[in-house]
Amino acid sequence: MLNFKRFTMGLLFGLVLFVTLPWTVQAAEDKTLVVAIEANMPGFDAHVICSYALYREIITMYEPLVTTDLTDADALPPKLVPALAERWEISPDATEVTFHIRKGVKFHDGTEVDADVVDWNFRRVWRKGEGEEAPQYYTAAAGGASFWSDSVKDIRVIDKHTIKVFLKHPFPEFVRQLYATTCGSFFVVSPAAVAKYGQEGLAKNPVGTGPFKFVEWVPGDRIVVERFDGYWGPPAKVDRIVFREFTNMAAMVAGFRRGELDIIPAVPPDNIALLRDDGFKVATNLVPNMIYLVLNLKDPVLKDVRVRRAMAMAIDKETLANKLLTDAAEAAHSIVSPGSPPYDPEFRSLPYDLEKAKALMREAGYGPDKRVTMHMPNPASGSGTIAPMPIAMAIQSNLSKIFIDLKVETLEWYGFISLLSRGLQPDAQILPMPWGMSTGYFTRQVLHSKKQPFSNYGWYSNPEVDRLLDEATSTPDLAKSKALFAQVNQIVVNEDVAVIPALIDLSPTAYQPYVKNFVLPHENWFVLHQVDIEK
Amino acid sequence: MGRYVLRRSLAIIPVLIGVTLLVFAAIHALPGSKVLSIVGFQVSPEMVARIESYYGLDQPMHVQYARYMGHLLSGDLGYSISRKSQVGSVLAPAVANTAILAGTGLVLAVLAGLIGGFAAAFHAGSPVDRGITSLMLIVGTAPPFWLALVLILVLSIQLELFPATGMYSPRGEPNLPDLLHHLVLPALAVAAQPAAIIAKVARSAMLEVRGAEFVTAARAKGLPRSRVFSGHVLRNVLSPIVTITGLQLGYLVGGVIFVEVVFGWPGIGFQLFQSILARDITLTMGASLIIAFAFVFVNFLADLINALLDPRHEVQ
Repeated sequence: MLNFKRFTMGLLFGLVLFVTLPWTVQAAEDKTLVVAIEANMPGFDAHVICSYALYREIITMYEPLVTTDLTDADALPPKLVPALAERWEISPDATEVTFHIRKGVKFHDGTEVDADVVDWNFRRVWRKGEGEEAPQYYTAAAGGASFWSDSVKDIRVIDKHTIKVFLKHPFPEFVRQLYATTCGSFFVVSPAAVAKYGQEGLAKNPVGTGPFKFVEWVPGDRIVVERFDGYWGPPAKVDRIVFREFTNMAAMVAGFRRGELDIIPAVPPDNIALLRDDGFKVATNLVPNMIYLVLNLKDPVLKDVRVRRAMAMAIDKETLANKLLTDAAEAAHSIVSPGSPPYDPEFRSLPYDLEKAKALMREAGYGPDKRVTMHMPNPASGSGTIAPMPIAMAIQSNLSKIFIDLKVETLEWYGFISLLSRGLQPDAQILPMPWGMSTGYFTRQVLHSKKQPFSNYGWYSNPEVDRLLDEATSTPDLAKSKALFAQVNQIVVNEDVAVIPALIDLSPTAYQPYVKNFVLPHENWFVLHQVDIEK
Repeated sequence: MGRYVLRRSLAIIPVLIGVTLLVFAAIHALPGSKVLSIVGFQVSPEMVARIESYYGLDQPMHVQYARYMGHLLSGDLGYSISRKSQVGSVLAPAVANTAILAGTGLVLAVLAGLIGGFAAAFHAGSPVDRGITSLMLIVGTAPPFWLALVLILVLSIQLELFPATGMYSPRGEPNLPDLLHHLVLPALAVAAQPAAIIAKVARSAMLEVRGAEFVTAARAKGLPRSRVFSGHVLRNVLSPIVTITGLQLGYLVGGVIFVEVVFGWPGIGFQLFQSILARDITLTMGASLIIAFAFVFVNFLADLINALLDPRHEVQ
């Protein structure tokens, strides 16, 4: 018969034994790197992926025609280097680009890469005109590619290893844009894999040419890739990479501290100093992603440039960056992305001057007895965001001093981005946008009047700026391009104040002391093929 | 008994239909296109519309719902656009993972609840009783996700006794000791609230039954203590405990979502959470249906066991 006391004591003893026994996980004979992802993977079709976080996985398995050297932390912008194209030529008027495809490259499934394969890939996401889609044209992928595909007039295979792209207009940055677009970057996927698994099936059975090949995906848990021994370039240093998905940052940091994770991106700002104090490495670097406030220029209050100037001068970016987000961000002044070729780190936006801001508001007819209410939808989290809630609170506090009552409406990520495609509506005056690319073309996308409303969310329209942007993005002369972008910055940021650049992301990324050769470049993602583990 | 089983079984159907309607309406009420998780935000509204049409998401709501229910009746939970797989194949392993966690949590909850409740009853009024009752009060009212983070902080990070996240170590091959080691903290977090409630009920039931006349009579007859306990006391305290345990298992399955998100446990709660964020209608519906079914079925099972234990239970 059960003796209650003996049963309880036995159970407790068993529990203590269980807890204190030396637990040994089966020692891995191979080198496995474990990396956290702060997003959910929607599959591995390289043509459909649309976030910085997911690029870190994709670029282990897939390659573009031309890539950037992300093993150099100092190169600003990162240098273009050959990938599947061993060399390329741009015509003097920048309307034609010829790619020479590297010979002898094989996909993970053994099929070869040549110009026909590259052409097939282009036509999967681009069509010459309405009704001219190739059989492999994939609607779900075509949307993201529009950042570069809208500029393509025609594509022709010249010979087995040469392909030529004809552009609708001069586009010197086309080669960089092909790779550095946040959505729809042009990676080369295996046509044989699409034939075998179907358009949708590629997402679960990715086949590329990268230094790693796909092994396993447990949705919501992990993605496993292993070194591809048939890779055309230098072999990867580790045998396997396991990517673990996290939506809870506290759990991600806890897992890192326990040694369950080797590299974690997007370290919450308040953890950076603590991790460094405890002997972990935390890298930071200027990346293209930034937070800029888009102003609704159709709003009757914001139509007054004095109000916009006042807002720009009332937001204390330096304090926000240095005190609130120490080591996670720095003050932004330019609407040209950091890390892009025309970026000028010396450019300065309107200085913080609270008294002048108040004077401007009074001049515009506002004051303590006539305050104005504005609304700002704010993402609680999401790709590229940096501590969105504290930043929103800080901006709210700053603006309250100049008679603006800011109502912050917190939305989860998809609720937030669902607002974007229609542009800012009358119920929202300010939009804190987390975005940036390592190309000057990005600035054209967010400010050109032709890009209203789905990337020019604030309805900005200035013919002079349109002209400057068209010229800046079509001249192959970098010095001239920089000068033109400087003019754009001056008009947009300091005169029209159509947007208020707030913060530049420093992309804090923590890694274990035994992780070697990790590099955080001037880009929104990093590479892992050179990373090694020395325990 | 047969008619009771049939009646209860049939009653599950309208509940599940109600769940599909509620979830379908709720997910459609969320702002944002249902394809945003796969196309991102730099896409024109025209392109979003084309992609929605590609997945049949441009149809009127009642048409989409009718199509979904039609597939459901033939056993097809649909296709998940965020996971690029049939919903069934995504959720099957998740259900198994949740079953491991919920099952372990239930066992812990029942053991801890019974031991705590009985110990408190046997020492009623003493510091032991007060200590156990206070502990159960704290543990029983703590939100599961908060408790989960506290467990990680103390037992994983500070004391380095258990892993903080996941179901298996990402290094090496998965094995049973590794699974058990990862299971401890999430199971404790999941078991805490149910254990507190079971303990409370066990304590009350034990105090009531121990003081009953038939127990006094059994002792007076000279029966050994163990016989009195097993033959008379236990059988009578079990009924309310089984009822509350069944109810707690239902809530446990529903509440496991928070614990799975914090620990990164790849169960059905975690999948449900991610599917809502991704606006994945079919995956959300599938996960909700499974959780609802589990809740209803478990309560049904508890009622059945109770009916078997106590013939006085009305089954008409």
